[in-house]
Amino acid sequence: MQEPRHITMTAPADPAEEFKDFAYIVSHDLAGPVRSMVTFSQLLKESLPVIEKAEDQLHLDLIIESGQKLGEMIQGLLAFSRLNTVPRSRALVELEIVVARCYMQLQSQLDATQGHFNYPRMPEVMADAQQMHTVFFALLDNAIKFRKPSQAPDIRIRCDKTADFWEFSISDNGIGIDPLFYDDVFRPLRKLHTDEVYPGVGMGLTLTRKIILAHGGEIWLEPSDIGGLKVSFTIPR
Amino acid sequence: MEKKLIGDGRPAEVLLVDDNRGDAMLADHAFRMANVVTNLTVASTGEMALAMLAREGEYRGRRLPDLIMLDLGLPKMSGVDVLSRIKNDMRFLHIPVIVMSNSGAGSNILKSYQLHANAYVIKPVDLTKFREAISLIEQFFFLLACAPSQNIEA
Repeated sequence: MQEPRHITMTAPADPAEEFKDFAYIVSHDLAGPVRSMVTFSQLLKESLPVIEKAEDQLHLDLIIESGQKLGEMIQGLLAFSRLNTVPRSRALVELEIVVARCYMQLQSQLDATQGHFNYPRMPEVMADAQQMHTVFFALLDNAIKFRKPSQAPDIRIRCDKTADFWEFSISDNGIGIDPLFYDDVFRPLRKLHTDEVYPGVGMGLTLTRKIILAHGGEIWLEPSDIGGLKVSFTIPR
Repeated sequence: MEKKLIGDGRPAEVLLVDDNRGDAMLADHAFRMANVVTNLTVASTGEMALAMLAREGEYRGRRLPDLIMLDLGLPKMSGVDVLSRIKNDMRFLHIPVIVMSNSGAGSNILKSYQLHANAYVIKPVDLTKFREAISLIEQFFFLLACAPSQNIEA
């Protein structure tokens, strides 16, 4: 089908709309080339005879690692931009099930670290089920990941009902966050540690805050009673 | 390890529709590593894929593929268009189509299944996982599932 030739573009582009598309397209389209970089470096590593110079081996490993990291960052940004572009579903979500599912997914990590996880009877909220899972998973995953090296993680969810809101908090006995960085840690890809110490791309709290705000709630950080971090957030009732 | 042939004692025919040369080479590699003997044909555009399926011109006399793997982000004709053409053509709609995508964007997944894609797979970023994905696809579509016998049409 040929388009008629003399079309003039009259509709002005909405910069905000354009950016939404931009973030999505960029993160989506970058995935292909990154996959090629990683997989072909891995193929090279497999097919080369033992690399004689340790330095060369290291360089090849660094290419692979960096590519994998880039891939994860892109996935994180893609998830972030999708929160803009994909409409939120609204339904009654049983948080009991959401948290139980997170528990199941994190069970092996908890076992490996001999961690404790306690949560009360969780309510039903009007929300997007998938996004609620993202929130609880990210926060619980962080609570396990950022544990003190010498101590088994102790993670506690609290849930309070106020007139207009459900207020949740997740407390841990981990390494906590310097209050100086309370704002900073919500920025995309922001990390306070090197990958060697605590792996990850730095999107967990970013996604969490965006979801909570979109649901009309608030989120904030403070030190926990048990010597780690306490993440609190609200969801309208 | 001995490689397997499919049901009627021949190699499996796979049509891969993907404009990314890297992904096509990777798929070729993964199929060669996997269990079933596979003839992989690559179409770098949707137009080319449809010409191959219609067995026009240089593609005359070819066997129809047993499986189509379709990337959604194609130049010109989109993957969604290709999918819809295949699934609306009596000659081709029996061929399983696996949509291979860079992302798990919910709308694409739903759209693909609504257009009768047989599966939607996110391309893994890691070599081992990519091989696993291809191997699973092969096992399911060529070894476990029963395939329709091919239509011999005019």
